[in-house]
Amino acid sequence: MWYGFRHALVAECSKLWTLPAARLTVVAAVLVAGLLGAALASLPVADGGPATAGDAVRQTVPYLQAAAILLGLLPIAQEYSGRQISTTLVTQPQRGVVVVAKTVVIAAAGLLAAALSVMTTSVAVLLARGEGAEVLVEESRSLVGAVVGLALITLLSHALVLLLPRFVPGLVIMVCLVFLIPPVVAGLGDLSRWLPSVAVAELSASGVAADTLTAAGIVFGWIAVVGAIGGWRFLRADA
Amino acid sequence: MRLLRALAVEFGKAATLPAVWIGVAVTVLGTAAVTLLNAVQTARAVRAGTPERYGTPSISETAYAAAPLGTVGAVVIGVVVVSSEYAANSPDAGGGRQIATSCLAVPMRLHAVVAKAVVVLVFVLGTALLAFPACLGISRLALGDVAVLEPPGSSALFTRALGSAVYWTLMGLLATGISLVCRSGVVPLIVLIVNSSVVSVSLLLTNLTPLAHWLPDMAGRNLFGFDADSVVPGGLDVVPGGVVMAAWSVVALVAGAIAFLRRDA
Repeated sequence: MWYGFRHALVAECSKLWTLPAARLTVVAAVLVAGLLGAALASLPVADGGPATAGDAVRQTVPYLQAAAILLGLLPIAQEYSGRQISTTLVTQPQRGVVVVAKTVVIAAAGLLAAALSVMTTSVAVLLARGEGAEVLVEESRSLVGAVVGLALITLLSHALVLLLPRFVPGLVIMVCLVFLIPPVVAGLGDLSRWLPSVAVAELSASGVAADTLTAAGIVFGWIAVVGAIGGWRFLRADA
Repeated sequence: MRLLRALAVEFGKAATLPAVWIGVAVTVLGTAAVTLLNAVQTARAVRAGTPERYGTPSISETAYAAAPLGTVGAVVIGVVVVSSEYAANSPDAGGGRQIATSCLAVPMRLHAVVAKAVVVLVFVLGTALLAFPACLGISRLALGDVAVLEPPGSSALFTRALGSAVYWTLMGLLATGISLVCRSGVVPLIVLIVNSSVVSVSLLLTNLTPLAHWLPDMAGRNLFGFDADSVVPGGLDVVPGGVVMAAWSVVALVAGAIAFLRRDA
């Protein structure tokens, strides 16, 4: 079992590493993170610019969610765009092992991409504001929250594409869920806190630890529910 | 005659493409749901004696507040009409791409581009014809006795529907042009949909340079007809903004057509 899982893990790493769209997404995310960080940091506070370096980094997180979504969708969507999924299941007939291996690899890739993006933003913000790294040290908890939040968005996209293994519907649903629905339902007060992107924003906010745990729990809940149904579909449906 | 045949072919292809109907559904159901939410909240606030929370319970204000959401559907339609041609079929069905068949069936590539643009235009306008009456009806029903009717002779209901439909159409055509250049749906979908949300790079750029008001989505935003105090200050008025946005769409379509005419399928 472990031997099979190890092989599946290596295979999934190799497939993700050799997927040009995934590599391009990570590179684009890092570049855009740097540019956005510099642009936001150079905005005057009077024009709605961020007051502190930490605020500037946090304000780039919503934009970086687009890359996190893409990274979560691409690995499974591209398998189903051709017959690669058949080859995958021929080489590893235990579908549960495939799902777990894919999830582990995508989670690691999401975490790595998020960490690189947030680090690049931080450097760009510090350079643009001419400040030292010490101003971000006290914000380290919220920056770690931002990285974890972005990685969770990647995992949620992965869970959704397990359920709906097509790129366009997955992208449209995730983009609506993350970018378009939150401002629309903002008037519903506390109910909007149950949306994943609102919870991710709370993860990166400099609030109290209890709120952070609740926010993380909300996103994990989304991933667990969507992932469970998606995993069940993957186990039961024809390739 | 050939153009008419190309049009018929493109209509057939678009009508049998599930993603096009997803775009239509996102627009019609999304705007209807948001209108219902707005109207219920506004009516509740008025009945509770706190109308200032959601503003005047006007039928048109409540219905058209959802109009920007419809841009997503227009972008999806504009993109998938092109990107579906370049997606590889299942290897069980030969593994080819539809674009090769399309170019064999309609060798005049310019006709194919024109036909695709017309199809996007018709589908987006058709979606608007479904969405706006539905939103106005839902707004009227959900506001009930607190609804504020438009003054007699006011053309606001029509002009705002027209402006919003024009914005959707131009955004759909822009998406078609960009997709023709990219030959893939990923970039135009993510850029145009995200830019239509509150996380808009164009909006961010307006804080850095006033030139950003000339970007297509920022130029045309006043077509939705929102009050000046509820939108980003500055930028172009309705008509010049619409003209600039139309110019962007034409440029994108021309660039897409040139790319499509000169490149191998």
